[in-house]
Amino acid sequence: MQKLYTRAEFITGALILSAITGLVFVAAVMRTFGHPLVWSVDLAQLLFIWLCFIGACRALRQRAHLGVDLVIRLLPYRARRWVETGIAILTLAFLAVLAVEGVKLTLLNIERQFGDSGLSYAWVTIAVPVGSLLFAGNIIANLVDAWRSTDRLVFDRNLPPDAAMAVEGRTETI
Amino acid sequence: MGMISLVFVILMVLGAPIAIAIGMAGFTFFLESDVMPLSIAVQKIATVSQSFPLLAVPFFIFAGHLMNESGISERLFRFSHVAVSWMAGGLAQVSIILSTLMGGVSGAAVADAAMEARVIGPQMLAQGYSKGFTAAVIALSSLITATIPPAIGLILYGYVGQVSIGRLFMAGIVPGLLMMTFLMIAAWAISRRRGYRDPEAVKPTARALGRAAWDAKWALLFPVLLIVSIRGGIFTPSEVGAFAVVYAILVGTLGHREMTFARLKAAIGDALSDIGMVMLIILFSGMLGFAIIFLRVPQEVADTLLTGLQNPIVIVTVVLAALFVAGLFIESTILVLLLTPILVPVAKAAGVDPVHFGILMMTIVTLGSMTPPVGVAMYTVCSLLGVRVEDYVKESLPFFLAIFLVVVVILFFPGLVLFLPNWMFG
Repeated sequence: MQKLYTRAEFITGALILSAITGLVFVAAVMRTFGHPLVWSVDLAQLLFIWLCFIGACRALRQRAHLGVDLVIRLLPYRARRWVETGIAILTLAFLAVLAVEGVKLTLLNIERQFGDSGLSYAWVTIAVPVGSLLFAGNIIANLVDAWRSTDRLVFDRNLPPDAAMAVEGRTETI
Repeated sequence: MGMISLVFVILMVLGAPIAIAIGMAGFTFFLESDVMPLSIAVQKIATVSQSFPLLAVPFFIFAGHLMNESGISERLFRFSHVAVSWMAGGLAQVSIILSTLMGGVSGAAVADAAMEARVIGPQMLAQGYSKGFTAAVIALSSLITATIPPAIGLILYGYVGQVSIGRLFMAGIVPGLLMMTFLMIAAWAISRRRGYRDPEAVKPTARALGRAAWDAKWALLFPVLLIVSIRGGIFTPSEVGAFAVVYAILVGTLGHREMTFARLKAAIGDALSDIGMVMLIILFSGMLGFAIIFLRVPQEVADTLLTGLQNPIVIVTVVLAALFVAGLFIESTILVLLLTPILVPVAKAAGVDPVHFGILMMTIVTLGSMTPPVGVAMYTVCSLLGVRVEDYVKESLPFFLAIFLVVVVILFFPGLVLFLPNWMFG
């Protein structure tokens, strides 16, 4: 089940990333040749927020979201797991409110058009509640995983400070 | 603002992901406010994703991963090796030159530092360079990558501060080259005293250098294309980002014939996670950014700073010193997103060009990821090479001095930063 979800998430994300790149690329090329495509960039812009949330969920499962563990890493593992569980529950409540408010906002936005493309702006705003729920689902999965293990946490990679960043490739920031 | 800051600080100290700390802190504003409905908070998150300049962020992240999977990094390494490994501190010079060349194809300091720690680090240790020195050169030189266009930090600064990203890109070139020069001198001076030198490396003939350059031609060509296409506004940075992705795939498949479907998938997977990590912070900062503007924080900060101080250089110096201290503890992305809207008006009011200020600010906050206690680039390099942070700190001091000198030079000579963008954009 979880494997299936991961796969579906990867394929969706890969398709959106390719689509956005292709849309902006083609729009730039066409404009150079004097045939601007307005809807192309609009569609890319609409898909952008979906890409962000899909990537954020993937990063969450990889425990790749950056946090400052300067103070918290002084605590023993069990205490840290409790602290992270508390943060997770608070985050779930926050995401739930975002989801509810997001649905309300989406209902208000159904009429609003997106640029000149005829697409509804609701496709953008609905990404916030959907993304929040997906993110919440992944937090729950991480919670279950952490409490079933004896060394894993919800958000952070629980590694000794020296090795904390050594995990291949997952250290990118600006 | 008090409650908002409190929520942010508490969540951060407890080790919550920065994106969530920023999101909840910003949301606090809407909870507290009597006039702001909660649905506006959602609106602010969605609005961030509607910025066309921000699309450059996923493109350049994706392109960076593709460049690694397409053989571009290896070829640039071989070229740098042929070019400078004969000097005193040969491999250290290679690391600095490679960071500069990588700067032209990629925009992320940490990615560059991680790559070099894997490729050059072990060779340096084998040739007898001290561990601290090796880690310091690799970590500090990645600052060049973050300064030379394309630079993701500059995209964010431009987006938040409403400053032309094309101009910022052009403005980053000279400071990047200055950093390269100063770091090379520092590495050369130390290496000569300690006898760090590769006995087998010889000064390359023009022929050998030409051959290595030809081998890396697609990688070396990219920065040239980037500058030409942004110049005069033919293409926007976001469009160039999309070109970079297509270019990297074409070079990897047709040019170098190295990119397989599996490597493409690996690049996409890494890119998705990075985009998600960075963009969630940016999306959620939409609420806090709105709150900061709504509460007129920029005006207050500007008033406080400008009543006490008059001289623009003094003002900028004070701001930079404060940024440096903040950068010791807070990740550079966060600082850029939260402080740019506050500081750009200050810089403008003091009569400092926002492009000039942007380069200075980005250099200082990015430097924060090379310093303890919270330095992502530092931890990455130190952990990959098994270096103790104390050794790193001791050996990195000369390189920090070199960067500090560059900052002083560009602070006092804005022309060095601004003449390229002014020449190209008028």
